[in-house]
Formats: sequence, C-alpha cells, structure tokens
Amino acid sequence: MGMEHTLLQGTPPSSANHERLHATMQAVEQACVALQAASTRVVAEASLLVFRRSSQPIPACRYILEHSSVAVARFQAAATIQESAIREWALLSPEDKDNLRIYCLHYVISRAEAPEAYVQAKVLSVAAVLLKRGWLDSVATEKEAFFNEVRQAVLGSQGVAAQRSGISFLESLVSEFSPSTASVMGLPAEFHEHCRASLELDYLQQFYSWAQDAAVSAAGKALQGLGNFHEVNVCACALRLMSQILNWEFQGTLIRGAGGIIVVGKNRASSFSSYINRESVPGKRSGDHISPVQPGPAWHDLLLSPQRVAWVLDLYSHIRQQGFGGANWMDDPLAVSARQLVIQLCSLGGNIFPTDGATTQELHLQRLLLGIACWLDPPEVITHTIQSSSSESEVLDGCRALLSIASLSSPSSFDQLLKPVPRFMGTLNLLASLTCEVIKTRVGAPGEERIWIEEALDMLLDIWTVLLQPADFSKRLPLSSSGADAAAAVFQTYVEFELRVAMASAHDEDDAREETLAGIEARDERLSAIALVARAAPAVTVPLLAALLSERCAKLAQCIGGNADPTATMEELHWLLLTSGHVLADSGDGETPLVPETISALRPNTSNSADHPAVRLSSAAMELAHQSLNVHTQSEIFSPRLMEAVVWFFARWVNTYLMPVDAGRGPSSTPSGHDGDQQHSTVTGIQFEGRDALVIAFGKEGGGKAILEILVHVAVTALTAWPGEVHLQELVCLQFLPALVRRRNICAELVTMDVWQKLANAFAVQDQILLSLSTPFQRALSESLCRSAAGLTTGDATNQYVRDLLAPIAASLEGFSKRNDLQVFAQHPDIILKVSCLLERLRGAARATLPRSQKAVFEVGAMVMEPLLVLLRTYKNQSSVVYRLLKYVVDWVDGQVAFLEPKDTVVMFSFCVRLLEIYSAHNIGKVSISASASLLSESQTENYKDLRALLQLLINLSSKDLIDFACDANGEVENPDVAQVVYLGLHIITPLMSVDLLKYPKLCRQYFTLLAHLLEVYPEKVAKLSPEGFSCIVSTLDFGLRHQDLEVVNMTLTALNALAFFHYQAICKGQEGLGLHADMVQGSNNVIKEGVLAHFLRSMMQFLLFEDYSNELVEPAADALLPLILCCTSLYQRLTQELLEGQQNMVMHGRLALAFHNLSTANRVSTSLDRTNRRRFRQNLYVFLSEVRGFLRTR
Amino acid sequence: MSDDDHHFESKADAGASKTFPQQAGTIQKNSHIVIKQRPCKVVEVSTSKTGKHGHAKCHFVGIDIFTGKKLEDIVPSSHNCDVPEVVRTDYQLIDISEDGFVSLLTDSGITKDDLRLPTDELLLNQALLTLLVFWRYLRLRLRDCDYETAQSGGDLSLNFFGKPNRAEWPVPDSFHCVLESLTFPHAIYKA
Repeated sequence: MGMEHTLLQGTPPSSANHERLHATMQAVEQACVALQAASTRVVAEASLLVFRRSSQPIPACRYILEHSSVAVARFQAAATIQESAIREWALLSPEDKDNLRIYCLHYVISRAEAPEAYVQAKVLSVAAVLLKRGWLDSVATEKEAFFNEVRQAVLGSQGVAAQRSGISFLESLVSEFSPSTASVMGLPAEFHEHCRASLELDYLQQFYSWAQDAAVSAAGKALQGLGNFHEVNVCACALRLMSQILNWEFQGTLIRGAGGIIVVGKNRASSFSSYINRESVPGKRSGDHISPVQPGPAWHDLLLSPQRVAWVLDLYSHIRQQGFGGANWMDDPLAVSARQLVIQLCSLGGNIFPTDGATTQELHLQRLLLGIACWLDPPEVITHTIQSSSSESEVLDGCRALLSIASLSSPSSFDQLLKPVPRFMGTLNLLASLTCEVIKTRVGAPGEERIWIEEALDMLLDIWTVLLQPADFSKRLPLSSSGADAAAAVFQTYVEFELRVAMASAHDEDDAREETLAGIEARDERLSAIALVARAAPAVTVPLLAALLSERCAKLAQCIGGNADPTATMEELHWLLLTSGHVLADSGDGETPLVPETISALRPNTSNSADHPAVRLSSAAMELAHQSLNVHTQSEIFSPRLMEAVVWFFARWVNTYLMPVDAGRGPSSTPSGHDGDQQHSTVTGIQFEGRDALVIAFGKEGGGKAILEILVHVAVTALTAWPGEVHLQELVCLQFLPALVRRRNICAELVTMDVWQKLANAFAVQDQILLSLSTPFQRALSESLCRSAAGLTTGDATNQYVRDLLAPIAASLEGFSKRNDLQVFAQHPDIILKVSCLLERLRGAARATLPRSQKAVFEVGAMVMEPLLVLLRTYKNQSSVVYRLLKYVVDWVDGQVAFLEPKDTVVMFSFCVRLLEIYSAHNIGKVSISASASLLSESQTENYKDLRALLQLLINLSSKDLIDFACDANGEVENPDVAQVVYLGLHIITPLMSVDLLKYPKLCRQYFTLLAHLLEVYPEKVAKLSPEGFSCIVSTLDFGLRHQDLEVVNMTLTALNALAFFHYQAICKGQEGLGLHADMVQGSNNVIKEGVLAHFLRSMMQFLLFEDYSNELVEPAADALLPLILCCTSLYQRLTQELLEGQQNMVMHGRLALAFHNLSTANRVSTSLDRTNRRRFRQNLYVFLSEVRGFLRTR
Repeated sequence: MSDDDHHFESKADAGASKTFPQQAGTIQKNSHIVIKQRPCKVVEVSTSKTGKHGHAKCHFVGIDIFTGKKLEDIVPSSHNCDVPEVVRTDYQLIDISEDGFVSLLTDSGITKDDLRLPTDELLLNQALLTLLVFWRYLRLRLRDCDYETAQSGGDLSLNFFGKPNRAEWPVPDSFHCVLESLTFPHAIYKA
C-alpha cells in the first residue's frame, strides 16, 4: 500500500538496519516461545519487559508485525507500540503520530482475514489509544480525514473483511473513550473527561448511524442468501457496536461553549471518586431495577423512528423463521446481538422522548413489545421446546426486555401495550401465563434445567415487583380487575405446585440448606415477591390460603393416634404458614408495619367480622397454635420444625394485627398519586370498613386479649416442651417474645395475665427448666420480661416488678461470692454455667432498662458490684465468664449513664475503675503458650472480644459528660472526673492495640469512635500523655487516615480536627497546647522528627490532592485542614510552593496558583475557627478540589 | 503427667464425680466437654436434624486440652454431655535457670521449681520470643538461654504499630504495670 511505502521511508532500508531488526525479531520470537514453558518463563518475561521499555522500539515493532510468523510476537509488538508511544509521546513528531495511527488501521484492514484475531484486536486498540492520546491536540480536519477513512471501511467500500475491521476499530474506540474501560495514560483525569465529552457530543451518533447502515446492507445481502458468512459476521458486529454505543454512560448535560469548546458539567461526585469505582455509584447497581438508557433528545430521530425499530425486529424475525445460523441459531452471534439491541431499545428513557404525555414512549414500547411477544408466547410451547433441548436464551432475553419495559411504565399502561392484539388480552395476561408456565416447569425439572428456570422465575417476579411496587409513588396504583385475575392465577399456581414440592420433600434427610442464613434470606426474598402478587388479588388469594390451612390442620388432627404419618402434612403446613405470614404482614425491622392496604381494603361478605378473609386466615393459624398446646399432640405429632413455623408466623403477625394502636382513629393518610384524589377517598372509605373487621377480631376490646393469652401459652410451651431444640428456642426468645413486649399497650395486658406472671415467677425463682436454656436465650428472656414492665401504670410498680425479677439473681451471686470454699467451688462446671446464666440475665435486664425501671436496675447493679469484683478475680482464667461479666457492665453503664445523680455516678465510676484495675492486673502481660495452634488462636480471639468490650465501656462512660451539663450547677457532690476514668482506661488499652487488631472492622470502628470522642472532649488530658503513649495514638491516627472504611476515616478526621483546634486555640491564648508533641524532635540518630501537626498537615495535603476518596469526606477534611493550616502556616506555604514548582505547564501553574490563592482568601475566610468561618472554608475547599484535582491526579 | 491421668471413666466413682452433666444444646463454643473420655475444649458446634421433622443433634469438634488432638462427637441436643472440671493455674515467672528449669511463684507465695521450659521447639520459641519482647523492659535475666536460636527460629520483627522493634524504641509507661503482673502460665490442667 502507498501508505506503508511512505512509512518505510522513515527508516532507511539499509541492509545493516534490516539485519538489526531481524535480530530483534528473532529475540522477541524466542522469548515468546519460551514464555509457554514454565521453566523458562521468568527469563522470557524479563527479556520481553526489557524490549518493551527499550528506547524507540517502534521500527522494530513494525518489522515484527509485518514479518513475524509468531502470533504472540506480533501481539507483543503491538503492546510495545502502545506502551512506548505513550511514554515517548513528546518525542514523536506530529507526523509520526499521525502515521502510526494510520499504519495500525491499515495494518488490520489489509490483513483482516488473518487467523489470529487477538493480534488484530490488539492493534486496533493500539490505534484507538493513539487516537485518544492525541485527541485534544489534533485539528478537526485531521480527525475528519481519519474518520473518513474509517467510514469508508465501515460502509464496505473496501470489502467485507475491511468492513469488519472498521467496525471493530469503532468498538475499541468507544470502549477506550469510556472512562471506566479507558487504558492508563498517565494523564490528568480532566483529559479523560474531555475526551469522553467530545466523543459523546460529536461522534457517537455518527458511529451509530454508520453501524446501522453497515448492518442494513450486510443483513440485506445475508438474508437474501447472496452473502457468505462474512456478511453475517459484519451484521452481527455492527449490531454489537450499536448496543455498545447505547451502553455508553450518557452525560446528557454537555453544552458547547463559545469557540467550540465543550463545557463539561462539573459533577461534584465524579471529580472525587476514582473511575474504577464508578460502577458503585448509587443508581447504577446491577440487579436492582434496570437503569434506563438516557441518550438525550438529539438521538430521537436516530433511535425512535418507526422504520429503524421495525428493521431490527424484522431482521430478528427473519433470523427466527429461517433458523438462520443452523440448529443452534438462537445462540448464534447474530441472533444474540440482535436481541441485545432490542433490549437496549426497550430501556430507552429520559428526555429523548418529547414531552407529550408519554405518547411517543408508549408507541415506541408497543412497537417493540409486539415484536418481542412471539419470543414469549405461547408459553406452553416455548417451555416445551426448551425442554426438548432447545436453547433458553431467547425467552430469558424476552424477560429482560419485559423487565425494562415494566420499569418504564405504570401497570395500566403496561397492560395496554398488548391490548391491540386480541389474542393476548393485555400484557399482564401474557406475563401471568408465562409465570404460571415457568412455575409448573420448575417442579420436577432436572438440575441443569433448574438454572434457567430459576433465573426466569426471578426475573418474572422482578417484573411483578416493579409493576406492583414501583419506586415512583405516583405510579403505585391498584391493578385493574383483569390484572388482579392474572395475579390470582399466578399465585394459585404457585401455591399448588409449591405444596407438591413440600409434600415430596417432607422426608428429605436434612434441611441444612434452609438453615444457613443465606438460604433463609433467599427463601424470604422469593416469598415476599410472591406475596406482593398475592396482595394484588387478596379477595382470591387470602381465602385460598385460609381454606388450605384449615384443611391441612384438620388432616393433622386426624393423624393423632398413630394411624397416619403426619410428616407430609406438617411440611405443607410449614410452607403455608411461611407464605401466609409474608402475605399478611411485612417484616417490621423494629417498626410497626401497618396492615397492607389491599388487605385492609377487603370487605367481609357478611356483617360478621369473622368472615373477613384475613381474620379467617389468622384464625386458621390460631387453631393450629391451639393444637400445639395439647400435651398429647405435642409429643405425638408436632415436630420442632412445624413449631418454628407457628412461632415465626405469630412473631410477624403480632406486630401488625394484634391490638393495633391506631384502632378507632381515622384512616391515616397514605402517600398516593396527585391524580388519585378522587379514588383515594373511596379507597380509604372501604379500607376503614375492612379495618373495622380486623379491629373487632384482634383489637383490645375485641378478641385481642384471648388471643394474646393463647400466644403467651404457645411461647412458654415452645420454650419448654422441646428441650434442646436450639432453633425453636432462638425464634421464641429473639423474635416472638420481643414482638409481644414491643408495644406498651400489649405489655399492659401482659402483666395482668396469670400465665405471664407464672413465667416471670419461674424466672425469678430460678426454675430449673428455664435455667437449662442456653446462655444467649437467658439474656433475651430476661430482656423481654423486664421490658414488659412498661405496661405497669406507676413508676413504683414498675420498679417493684423489676426488683422482684432481679433481686434473687443478685442474692445468688452474693451468696456465691461469700463462700469460704469459693476458689474450689467456683470451678465446678455446673457453677460456672449457673454464674454465666445469671450474668446473662442481668445483662438482658440491663439492656431493657426503661426510664421508669432505671432505679431498680441500678439498685440491683449496685448490689452485685462487690460480688462481681470477687468473681472477676476468681474466674480470671475462665475467659468466657470474664467476657460475660464485662459485657454486663458495658450494658449496665450504657443503660444507667443518662439518668444518674452525681452521687450514684461516683459509685458507678469507682466501680468501673476497680473493675479495670483488676482486669488489667490479671490480663496485661499475660502470655499463653499452647500445644495446639487452634487453641492459641481461640485465646487471641477471646482477647480481642474482651478488648472490644472494654472500648465500649469507655465509650459509654465518656458519654456521661455529653449528657449532663446540668449536674454541675447543683454542685452538691463533686462530679467525678470522667476524663480520669477514661484516661486510665486508655492507658490500659493503648498497649493492647496493635495494627493487626485494628484490622478487625468492629474493633477498629470502636477504637476510632473513642479516640475521636476523647480528643474532642478531653484534648488537654491527651496532651498530658507520655511521648510514647502519644505516639501510639498518632500512629493509629495515621493508620486511620488510610483506612478503607469511610466512617473510620471520618472519625480520624474528626480527631485530627479536635487535636489541631485545641492546639491553635491554646496558642492563641498563650498556653502551650500540645506542648512537646507539636514541636520538632531531634531523634537519637540526628533524624529530625516533625511535630505531629506538621506531620498531619503533610499527609492531609497528600490525601486530599492525590488519593481517591468519597466526596462525603471533603467536609470533615476541610474542618481538619483549616486548624492544621493555621497551626503550621509556614509549612503550608512551603508545601504550596513545592507543588507550584512541580508544575511545568504554565497554564496549569497559573490555575494552581489561583486556586491556592482562592482557597485561602475567597469567601472572606479569616484566621478564626468559628462556625461561619469553617463553613466558608469548606466551600472554598470544595471549589479548590474540583478545580485542581482534575489535573493533579493522573491516570 | 502421662496421658492416662486425664481419662474419665464416665460415672466410675459416683461419690466424687470429676464430670458434671450438661444438656448438649446449651454447650457452646469455647467451653469444655468430655469426648471419648478425654477432656476437650469445644472449637466448633453445629446442629443438624434427623430428617426435616426430626429432632436436633449437636455435632461437637473438640481439641484435647493436653494432647492437642482433634476429637468429634454427635449427641442429641436434649441429652446430657459430660463436662469436665478444668482448673487452670497461672504462675508468675521469676527466673529461668541454666539447666532449663523455670522458677515460678504460686498464688500462695511459695516458689515452684519442678517445671522445665517446654522442650518442644515450637513451644520453646513461642515462650522465648514472648519473653524477648519484654526483655529490655523487664531486665529479665535470661541467663544462658540460647536466644540466638530463638532469633533464627522465629520471626522477631514483632511490631508496635508497624514500627520496627528498634533498640532506641523507648519503654512505654504502660509496661510498668506489666512488670508487676507478668505471668508465665505454663498451664497446668488439673483433672
């Protein structure tokens, strides 16, 4: 080619030169071959690296590309061109650069049919990199010329093979310009940003239409049977390029400023986080709702014109009808990329559509949906063909497209899209029949098929969720009656087939899969999705569940006497209870979930409230619970697993239905669409009626009390009648009982009930059955019992109730501690167990401290102080007891600290000091050696847990100062010096902390919370630390500043702020502030160590300017930076000077200087540290960073 | 002590039982249990069921506290297990003599001189290493012990906050309390 000729002129073809090049080629080839063998790899790698880094290797690379027969060598040559061109960019003349680009392009076009595609792809990506590197320097005409050539290739004027190469080049170009896939160039981030903007604004549409033209012509030939496989290939490539372009992260906010310069909208977030992390920006989460493709209005004609959309769909239906690509046509690249493009078109959104009340959008979606429908319809046939070894990719893609469409439209408009075709009777109908079919196929499907079925079902349920619960409230409207019918059909099918599965799996060996947390979460997620579908048609689904539940319940009753095996029925009941729980109520997560709107809108058929479907379903479950109370049924048939389901169901149900607090009051306002006012009032009218029925059935005045009594019976039975069933006990203690005592109005009923009082009594007298629960459940039980005291009306009664519960525990512990034979006696395992149980009970009670019961909890706490100290000494080698003891004190202090009077505070603080002293006397400096490595690591874990408990204790203690300012005013008793306590604690803890320990995230957070707090509140105490202690803190702060956890960095910054703030203020007042710590120190070997503040100023500047961090950190960083600058002005000036001198480019130099100037002067920033000034400085820093980081940081 | 000293014949002498019954479901990780008549520390507990609607069983993995051997057991969770009484005594280290015996101080103030430094190389290194860390601070006389071997055998670059353990690294204040409370628990298990 002519071009190559001119290129060769650059390197005179003397024979000596030729030989040299040939020798290089042989060396590279040898290295490439050697790379394959493990023994020679290291040497080969080293020599290739030398080649890559050699000076001006481009002629050699070209020689290799043209002459070598070793493909890997050609690949290495291409890679070397890229690396060296970027490195020696400044040395290349503009002509060289231009030639090199064109050389790469021509190289590929002229060898498009060469077998090793990866070499060609690499050369193309090199061309793309070269083009991007010179993008901002090259003149428009140069680019025009270059792209003209590309265009010729893409449109096919140079042959089919060249056409393919042209398209591939555009692919590499687009991915090179997209910041998340860009290669490293050592250039400022701003450069990458500009290139991206320029491409989006000026070229992307052109590329798209070229690709489209190429696809149209190639497809025309291919489908008429004129073309060979090349045409098909070109068409597939072009389609792939089109969907790649639609995948671009469109900014849409680009404006062309004066003189053709593109103004990049300054997006604050984008200037801080790294490009690699861009994927984690909220709203771009995959798996969540699909985020729409938003290319902006300019793309309207290109993407939305009916002919173009129709063309893609026609193309695909041709492929489909003719089975183009052989038996496996569905997974042929052409079909795959065509479908991919259709899905992308389905996800178009944003202002590409004109504001015409979504008409254009609906037409567009309708057009697409009509084309897609045949992928999914008729469902029976499709699943059948897939089962007979056809591919499932089409139906999955169909679901994806449907999901995109659903997330862009409301339920009714979604349904309307397919209305014009009578066969479908609406989109929801199609969706429902497809869902049903997938559910049916799922049962009994062999393992490998289940994978796609599960994926399809997940996606279909996602579609339902998107339709029924869109994030946008204005779209949240109830389904039409036909839609409700469709939903009901789906749910009925689901129930029918899942029950079969349950029955079949009842005798399975193990439920290990379900026992894992992930397994339970996956199950709950599936069930809550299906529950949404059920709630869309409650009039059908709730009665269905009620009928099934009571029928199976009756069946279970018949099994008594041993005539039949109840296992299958129990498994069915288990499933029904879980599903009913999800349908009837949401999980509260600590809040009170209301009755789902559609269920409360249901009306009983008769005036009898018991006829309300939700009431009937609940009563059926209640009936089952009642059966479990019967001693015979219990032992004979009720399995622990079934009981778990009963307990789980009611734990969830109680929050929503039992004695609702807002009963009797008017309907609470629910958020609803602005256009739904009319509808709103009618809906709530009905709702009120439905809610009345629920209130009569479960309210305080209605059947609520009786139900509550049964439920308490159920809880006690579940706790005691299945000894050793840990999962069941866990559900009762951690979910059911807490749910019962969560609301005060229920507690008020509870405390009057005999059965609850009996439970409390058994607890207080340390009944053996309750003591046989394992220790965490002791805590939970005690917590629930103490919490129920909230139901008592007067403070005295509450305190008396709690005292009655806890005083026996205190007495027991005191009894133990006063024994003469304590040392021997205490080591008996049963005594250790008992002490552990009692400590856990105390801890549970401490966690349940209420404002009204605080006095009693404190009294009991004060009673056990001495015994606890004795026990701490006695059990110094039983780390589990020590840990429980510490945790109790932590929780007790936490509960009490807000309420205490000064004299009580003294008591508490002196107790804590003694506790810390005893603990440190027995544990610091303790060295364990053990025969077993795993036992040793266990003991380290125990140390770590103790340390966390101690940190928490210090945090709790130090929060006292924040809570009461008022105490000092009274001045009767001197408030004990919190700082002194915390200082002592810190003294104990700092030597135990190590960088290794700080790698535990929880410990790390706690430590930095404490540190930040201490430095804020007691900087003067910290300043008094010894140099070693202080340097410990400094090095942990250094560690914290570089931590990955946002919160840790934030707290570190708070701590730094406090430190510098204190010092600056002290200096201003003429005090010494941090004193020695802030001064420069001359180390023993004459190394001058900077003062801490100077040290931190340096690292802060480094951090802010050159590292990646979230923009949330800018504010705390500004707060820390300002006092640091004020403390060390001279160093700050030196640092800025260094930065300025390092900037070669005059323009950048000017910008940097101006930015620094503005940082310290703009916005009337002064040298004070008051709030307004700090706020101004924050703004300045924001401006400064978004101005400067773009070109300081390189990539 | 030979290994035979720590065997438990379950309920052999009813009068002074060395073990106590405890429900399997309540035994947690890090507590002690008798497995195959050996006292073990539980390092892992998991539960499983005999069929979906069956009863729970506990699966224990324990480590023999004397031999370090791993032992396993499966017990229905409502049944009782034997729990051994384990007494651990810590002694304060006073001295190490030339022949490798250590001098220890008991709680009652009497010295105990009949224990050797561990002979197992790993354990010895562990012990010496730990002592060396405190060496300068404590001015502990580690007379003719060959701590060069320890140095070559183990990694001595123990760090305090990433700082190399240099000679000029000063003695932290907090180590003064270490001086008072340093214990050297050559753990003695009494069954």
